[in-house]
Formats: sequence, structure tokens, C-alpha cells
Amino acid sequence: MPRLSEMGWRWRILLALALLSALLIPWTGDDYLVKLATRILIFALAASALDLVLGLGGLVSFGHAAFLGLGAYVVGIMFLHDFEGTGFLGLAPSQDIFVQFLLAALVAGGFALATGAVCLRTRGVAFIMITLAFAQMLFFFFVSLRRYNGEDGIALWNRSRGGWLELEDQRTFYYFVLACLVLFLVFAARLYHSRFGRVVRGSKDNDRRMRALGFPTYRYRLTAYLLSAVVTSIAGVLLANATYFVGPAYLSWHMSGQLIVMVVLGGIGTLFGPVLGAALFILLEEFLPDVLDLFAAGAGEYWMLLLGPLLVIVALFARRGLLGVLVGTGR
Amino acid sequence: MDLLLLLQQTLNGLQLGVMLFLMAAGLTLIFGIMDLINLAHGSFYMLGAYLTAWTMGLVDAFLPAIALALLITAAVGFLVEVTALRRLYGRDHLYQVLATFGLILFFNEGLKLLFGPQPIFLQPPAWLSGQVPLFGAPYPVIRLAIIAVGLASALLLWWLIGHTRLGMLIRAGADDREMVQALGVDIARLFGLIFALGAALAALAGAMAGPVLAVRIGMGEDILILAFVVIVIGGIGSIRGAFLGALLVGLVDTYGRAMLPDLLAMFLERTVADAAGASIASMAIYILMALVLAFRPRGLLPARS
Amino acid sequence: MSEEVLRAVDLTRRFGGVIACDRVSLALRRGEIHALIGPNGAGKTTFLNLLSGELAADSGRILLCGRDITRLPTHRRARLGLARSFQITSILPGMSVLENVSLAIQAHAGSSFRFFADAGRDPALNEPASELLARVGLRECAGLPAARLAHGQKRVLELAMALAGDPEVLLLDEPLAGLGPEEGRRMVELLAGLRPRTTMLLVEHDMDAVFRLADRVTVLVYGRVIASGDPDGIRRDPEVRSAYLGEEEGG
Repeated sequence: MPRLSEMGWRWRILLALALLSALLIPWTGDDYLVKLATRILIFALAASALDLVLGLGGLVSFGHAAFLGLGAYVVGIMFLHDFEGTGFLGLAPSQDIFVQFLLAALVAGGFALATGAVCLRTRGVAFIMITLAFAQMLFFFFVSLRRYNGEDGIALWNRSRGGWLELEDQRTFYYFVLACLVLFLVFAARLYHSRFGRVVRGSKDNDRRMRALGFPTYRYRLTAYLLSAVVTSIAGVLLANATYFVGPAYLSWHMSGQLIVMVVLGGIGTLFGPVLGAALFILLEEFLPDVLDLFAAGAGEYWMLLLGPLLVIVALFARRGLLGVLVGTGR
Repeated sequence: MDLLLLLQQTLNGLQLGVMLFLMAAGLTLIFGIMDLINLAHGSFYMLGAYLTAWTMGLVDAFLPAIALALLITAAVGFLVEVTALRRLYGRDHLYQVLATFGLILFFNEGLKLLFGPQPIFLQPPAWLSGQVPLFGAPYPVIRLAIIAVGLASALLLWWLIGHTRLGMLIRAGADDREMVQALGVDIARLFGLIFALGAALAALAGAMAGPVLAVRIGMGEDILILAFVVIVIGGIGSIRGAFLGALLVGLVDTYGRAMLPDLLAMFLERTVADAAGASIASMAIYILMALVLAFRPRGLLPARS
Repeated sequence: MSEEVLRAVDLTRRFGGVIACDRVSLALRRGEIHALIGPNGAGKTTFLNLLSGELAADSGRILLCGRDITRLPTHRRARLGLARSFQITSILPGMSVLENVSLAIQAHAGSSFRFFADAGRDPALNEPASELLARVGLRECAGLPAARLAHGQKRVLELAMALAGDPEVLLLDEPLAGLGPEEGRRMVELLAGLRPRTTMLLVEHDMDAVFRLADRVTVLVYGRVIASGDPDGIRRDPEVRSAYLGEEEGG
């Protein structure tokens, strides 16, 4: 991953253009477009957060939907209690989005520490299966939780409050999400080259060597896992606000799979790959059915019949993802 | 607590256990020998169930219908291995996850296209659909049959791996590929064969699940994740571990769902106990997994290597 | 009398029924190169792994500068000054040569829980790393990806990483393995040049190199020490000759 200061002019111009168009989207006045773009940005945030473990740490977490869902449920549960006028564990519920960020970080962070402590003792296939299993545990927990509507989930009547920010306004909410994403990308770019980032990358490269050099690598990997979980839960808070809905589907293993697909589709271990991958995936999801319907009426419903083999092909041949294809040579 | 209920739940747990074993056996072989994570293994389970529903319409006899379904699934498994997964051995697990996730989407949508989105209820033949008195209460014959078939398959697998040339090659292949190649064995064909065998076992579980549960899109994914838990508990790559893990998971899950609410009701209010019992029961096997991992990170009966 | 830097007392390790290390005792004096030799399967690598903490000893004790480190994990021992190289070259192939060494420096230069500052541009890490690279003759390759180095250069890079932080003891597991004659000669020179600043325990099959470098030699056969002493004495020891040297020189 090159530093911003080492990027060529062409890349800087491209980046400036991308940021500019992101800033201009709300001014089109197209409500549908703004909503779609908001969703892309939120998933870009979640995918980038996942890339902290996937790309930086080389740890294939198949359970990141759990963190996304936890963040979303913080919003839903707070809303429900506020709506009913009841307390949550004796505390007054808060609909302030920053309080919810903090709560989501605490809950997701706690879950990440507890499960990560177990998962990170294993490697490879076992790590994948165990992260998946823990996420599935949480999924079934929320499905069986009748207090919060189980399978049906919680419909929200309003977005969280953002102090002087009017988040209910689509445009304001969009900029808020964009700001979150940009902030995190700046952080991720710094993290990659930081002392911490180097240790995590080194541990991915050759864990035995890193330990022999004197690094307690387990602690570093656990911290990376924790960081990734916390940021994913922030994306979950935003997702609940974007869709006015919270349900177990956010914790399903399909969601975990989709996040992985976004990262790999765009380009793993790169700064903008996950963003690109999220955009590509959501655009495919949104428009591929329509395109297919043009060829045969009703074919759109089966768009995943095309997506499936596409993923197989990406896995077999395009290892560096879309960004890799665009850039041509290595990072 | 009711002794009769306990016995019945034990049988139900055993039935879930042997089905899980059929799933986990193929998966764990593929993990252990090819170091491949195959998320699409659940698709073979689903395929087995759908194909049985289809072949039943063709031949109108239960056992030949199942046999035909197994053969077709094995062939599909072989084809999938040869065309796609073979290229993923030795690659980063991430790409195996991506590719087999894609395969799941493909199989789910494909079967939805062919059979429609509605669940299908497989009608077992007359000789399997009755009930027999067991400990003084009626018990479905089909569940007993599943247990019998599952145990028989386990026995067959044990014989196959422990006492045949193919089994010797499988065991050797896990430890030393070069040695097996030096014996003049086509390792590629051996892997394809193991893959087909795993697919057939999963299909058998799916075919038997058809009459008990419903045949529906996505049925393979729930059991796939349970099979993962089984493998983690038993130890990756170990067939004996898979057997032990499958029975443990089957029993713990069944007991938990049946008895936890009542058990908690001794200490808690009924409504609270029901709610909490259901929640804890749905998480019981995952808690079991975490406990096993905390004390035995490599599982209860890890493979030797 | 020179002081002891590392002392192993009755280290024992079994694998199933096989005893790989049977009450092995050994002491390293400051500044010496101590060679550990023996036929294949004698337990030399196991012994190194016990010392570095990759394996836990069944019984026995390890003292580093008088401090008991028997129960410490690998990374703690490394921090206390126990560095090592592996039999199969172990570097970080995905990073540049400079980054490899600078990470090794980082391990001994304060906390690595720093998330923001650019470590790749930290002179406190890069300068000592460049110095080390110059010392081992890899300065020209600093910017290359480590994976692109030739095999001999990779071995030298691993040595440079082990030297970061000025270790009390350096455990070397066959540093000459796979090197050509020219590369091997340079490695021997390099190792000789580290004396007396670095104390070394050298496991090596190349007997020329061993007798050129070693101040003392310990012979391990079937997990047991059968002889220990100065190189000349070892060379003349009849038991060593019959058990080990004899089969090579007599051939």
C-alpha cells in the first residue's frame, strides 16, 4: 500500500475526482441515488474494517456479520426502549448516535475479545469455522429473543439523533456516513505503515519469525481483530439508521460472506479495494436483476445464478480483485 | 423428569447426530487430506434431498430412488472438484471460501429455478411411515431407520478407511502425498474420488432428512454450520472425532431444546424460563464448542499429524 | 574466568516414547562460539527449540545471565536477549529487506502498540537497521522485497535480523545449510567477525567451519552429551570418533 505522498499524479487526480463526485451526489436531488450511495458507503466502511483482519492480518474471519448486527441491534434496542418509555437494564435508553457508537463499540468489542481469545489460538480452516460458528450463535440468539421481536426484527420510526446534525435529512445523513468512511480510511492508511500495522503484517507473513524476534503476536492479532470488530459495529449503527430496520438477517452468515466477497472483489489488502468492491457488489445486486429481466422476463430473480460462477472465476483467476485488474501490476 | 421423554429425546438426538456425522465425515476428510474448506458441502446435502424427491417421481421406489440420487450427487461432486476446486488446493483459504460461497449461491438459485421456491414434503414409503411402540409409546419408524442407516454408514466408513487399499491411500495421502505418488497412484484421481465419496455421504443425509424435515432451498447451510461445529469439537481431519462430535452435538442440541425451559422453570418464572431456555438452547452447542476449544484447542480426538 | 551467559541444566524432552533430549547440560561463556555437533536425529534442533522456547522442556532448567527463563514464552526470551536463526530460512518475504531488519530493531525499541506514526520513516528504526545491513553487506539490497534475494542473501538477512538489539546469545541452526562454497566462506567470516561481542551456540554439519569457528565443542548423540571440550580434544576423543567423526573421516 503506497503512502499518499508516494502516489503518482494520476492517482491523486483520480482520488480527488472520486471524492468530488462523492461530495456532489446529494446535489443531484435524486433521492434514490443518494440512498443507494449511502448504502454503498456503509458497506464500504464495513468491508474496509473487515480488511483489517483479512488483508492486514491474513485472518479469514467468516463471522463479521456478528459485529455489524451488534451495532445495528444497539440502535434497534435503544429505539424500542425509548419508544416504550422503558429502561434497558435499569438505564435510560439513548437515541444519541454518538452514545450508540460508544455502546456498539463496547458490546462488539467485548464480543470480539471473548470470541477472538478462542479463535486466535487456531489458524487456517479452524479459524474460519469458529468465527462462523460464533456469529451463528449470535444469530440464533437474536432469532430466539422474543423481547426484541425475534425473527421479525425491529422497525425504526426515526433515525438516531446526531446533536445539531439533522440525520433525518437524507443529505445530511449521507455526508455523515461519508465523513465516517473518510475518517476511517485515513486511519487505516496510517495504521498500515505504523509500528502496530507492521507487526500485524509481519505476523501474517511469518508468525514464528515474529515471535522469535520478540513480538507477542497473539496480542497484536487480537487487537487488530478488536479494532476491526469495533469499526464494523459502527457500520452496523449506520446501517440500521439507513434502512430504518434491524433484524437477525444482519447477523446471518450470508452477510459475513458478502462482506468477504466485497473485500476480495475489490482487492484485498488495499486501501480502496474494499470500497470499490462494496460499490461493485451493491450495484450488481441493484441492477443485475433489471439487466437480466431485459433479456428474459422474470430472469432477474435468479441473478445469483450468475453471481455464483462469477465468484468462482474471481477466486480462480483474478486474485488481486478489481483494483488489481485496474492497476495492472502489484500494489 | 419423565424417563420416557428422556429416552425419546435420546433417540432424536442420536438421529440428528448420525445425520451430522454423514455431513461431517466427508468434510473432515476433505479438510484433513486436501486442506480445503468447502462451504458448498451443504449444497450436496440439499442436492441429495431434491434429487431424491425427483427420482422418487421417476422410479417410484424409495431405495432405488435414493441410490440414484446418491450417484448423481457423487458425479456432481466429482465434476465440481475437477472443474473448479482442484485449482484451489494449496491456495489461500480465502479463495476457497470465495469460490465455494459462489457455488452455494449457484446451487441455491439453480435448484430454485428447477424445483420452485416452495418447500417439498417427501413422502416416505408405507413401510417407513408408520410408528412402532417403543418403551410403551409410539415412535416414528423413519427416525429409527435413519439411526440404523447412519450407524451402518459409520461402520462401513470405518472398515473402508481402516481395512481397504483405498483407505490406506487416504490415510497415507493425508501424511505424505509424494509417497502415495511414488506408489504409482494418480493422486488427482484419488482426491476426486474422496470428494465424490464425501458428496455422496452428504447426499445420503439429505435424502434421509427429506421425509423428516422439508426439502427446501438453503437447507444445507444450517446443517453445514452444525457440521463445522462437529468437526471443530472432534478435531479437524479425524473421522473418529467427527463421530464423537456429531453424537455430542446431536444430543446436546436435542436435550437443550427439549429440557432447558423446564429445567430453568424450577428456578425462574415460567415465561422467563421459556424465553431464556429457548435462547440458551439455541446457543448450547456453540458454548460446548467454545468450552472444548478452551481446554482442547485441537479438538477431542485430533488427527495424528 | 569469564562469566556464563546461558546455562542449560538437565534439559529433557520426550516425543511419545522417544527421548529427543536426555538431561542435556551446557554452559555458554561470554564471547565464545560454542559448537553443538552430532549425527542427524541427535536432538540438536530440539535442544535449540527448548532453549528458544518453541518447545517446552519436560524437565530441567534454563538460565539466561543467571535468570531462570525455563517457563518464559519465546517472545519474552527474545526480549531478554536470546536471538536465533532457523534451519529453514525464516524471514518476512512480503516486506523489503530494510523493513525486515527494521522490524527486528522495533522489537527491542519500545512499545509497538503505536497506531498512527509512520514506522517506515522513523529514523530511530531505520538508521540502526541500515547500519546492520551495511555490517553484513546487504546495504545495496535494502529496498528489494526480501522474497527476491538469493538464498545465500536470505540467510545473511536472517542473521542480520537476529543481530538486531545486540543479543546476549545467538542460537544458529545450520547457518551454512544450502550455501555454496563462496557464500559459505563469507558466512564463516561474518560469524568470526561477530566475536567477541556476540556469544553464539552454533549447530552445524560443516566440520571445517565448526573447527575454524568454535572455541568449544559439545557432541550430542541420541539426545545425550557424549563429549564436551576444546576442538582439539574433541577431535582426538575416541568415543566421538567412533560415534560420529569416525564414520565421516573413515569413509
